[in-house]
Amino acid sequence: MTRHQSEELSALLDGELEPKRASQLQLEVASDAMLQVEFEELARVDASLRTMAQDAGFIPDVAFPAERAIARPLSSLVALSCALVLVRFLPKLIDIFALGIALQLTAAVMIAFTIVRLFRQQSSTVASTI
Amino acid sequence: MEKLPEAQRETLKLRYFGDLSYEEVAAVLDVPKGTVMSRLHLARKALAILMKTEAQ
Repeated sequence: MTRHQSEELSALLDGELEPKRASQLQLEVASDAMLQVEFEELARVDASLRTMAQDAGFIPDVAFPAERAIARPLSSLVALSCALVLVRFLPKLIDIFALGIALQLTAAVMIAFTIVRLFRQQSSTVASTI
Repeated sequence: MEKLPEAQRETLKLRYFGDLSYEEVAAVLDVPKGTVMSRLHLARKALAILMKTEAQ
C-alpha cells in the first residue's frame, strides 16, 4: 500500500475521488486485506467525527480569502483613523514641541506604510482571483 | 481533536463542522487541494490511534 493510496482512502470516504478512480479503489480495497483494515479504521473515525459535528451543532467562522482581503483594509483604516486623531490632538494636550514633531513623523510613516500595504494587498487579491 | 496539530485541526473543523468540500477548505485555508486531502488523512490516522489507545 502506497502513501498516496492510503490518502486516497480518505478522499474515497469523503466522496472526493473521481468516479473512475473511486470504483478502481473500491476494487483494490475489496482485494487487499491491509487496505480493507485501514479503510474500516478511517470509516470509524469519520463516523465519530460526523456524530460529534452533528451533536455540537457548531459552525466554524469561515472566511474565504476575498472576504479576508476586505476585512483587513477595514482594520487598517481604523488604525489609520486612530493615528490621525493622535496626530491632531496629542501634541496639543502634551504641549511639547519636539514630542509633537516626533509623533507626527511616526504617524506619517505609519500612514505611508498602511497605504503601501493596502495597495500590495489589492494587487495580490486581484492576482489570486485571476 | 485538541491533541492534533493546529493545521490538521482547522482542516477537520472546516470539513466536518463547516461541511465544506475539499475545494472550499483549500480556498479558505489558501492551500492546495492535495494538502487538504493529506491533512485530513493524517488527522484521521492520528485520531484512530488515539481512539485505540483510549479504548485499551
